[in-house]
Amino acid sequence: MAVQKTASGKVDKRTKEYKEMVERAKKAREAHKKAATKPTIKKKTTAPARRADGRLDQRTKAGKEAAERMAKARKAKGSFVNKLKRLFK
Amino acid sequence: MKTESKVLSSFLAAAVWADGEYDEFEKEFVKEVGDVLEIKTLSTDLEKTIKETEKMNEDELASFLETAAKKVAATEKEGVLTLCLQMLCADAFLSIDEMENFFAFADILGIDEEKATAMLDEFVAEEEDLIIEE
Repeated sequence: MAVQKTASGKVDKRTKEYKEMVERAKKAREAHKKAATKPTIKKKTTAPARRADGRLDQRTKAGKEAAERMAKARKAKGSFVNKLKRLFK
Repeated sequence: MKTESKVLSSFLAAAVWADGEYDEFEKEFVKEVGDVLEIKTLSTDLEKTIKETEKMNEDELASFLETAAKKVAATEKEGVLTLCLQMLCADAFLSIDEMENFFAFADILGIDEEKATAMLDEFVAEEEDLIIEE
């Protein structure tokens, strides 16, 4: 797979992971449709500090900084407000 | 907005349960949505719904959402799913469970898989900071 870049020119590391995850989710849905009559909602009762494989959850470190950037971008661009108004006019 | 705050809260609560934590970023996001859509009770309705659904198992939660989905205005189904996606990713992290819940929400809302996939693709493309589970 060719390396893709984001709009800011950074190498997009998500491309491969995202596509793989979409495929996994699709297979899970197909398997579920064969076995059950209604969708399953995944539910966790505790927020894990570590993932199932024992590695530190990214949410506790880099994720927090990324979430702050996403929230700032949402407010700064105003596109989110416009999108909401369009979706709920 | 035609859909009631409590109905929207049902979906947002289910989005919270995907990772089991109603974190600071999700709270901030809900406040923003409440302000823009002028739903003063959204934050408090969501907190009540989180408590209400706390003891539910996954099947009960799905049934709870199916009931709520019937009360979502037809013209606002895509909007509700968009808000769920934003909520699932408010912590800048998208896990496989969160992605599966996104498609489950779409199914319950009657939004076809192709449309839901396009919405997800667009969101991921726009959000450069989003971390995808490895």
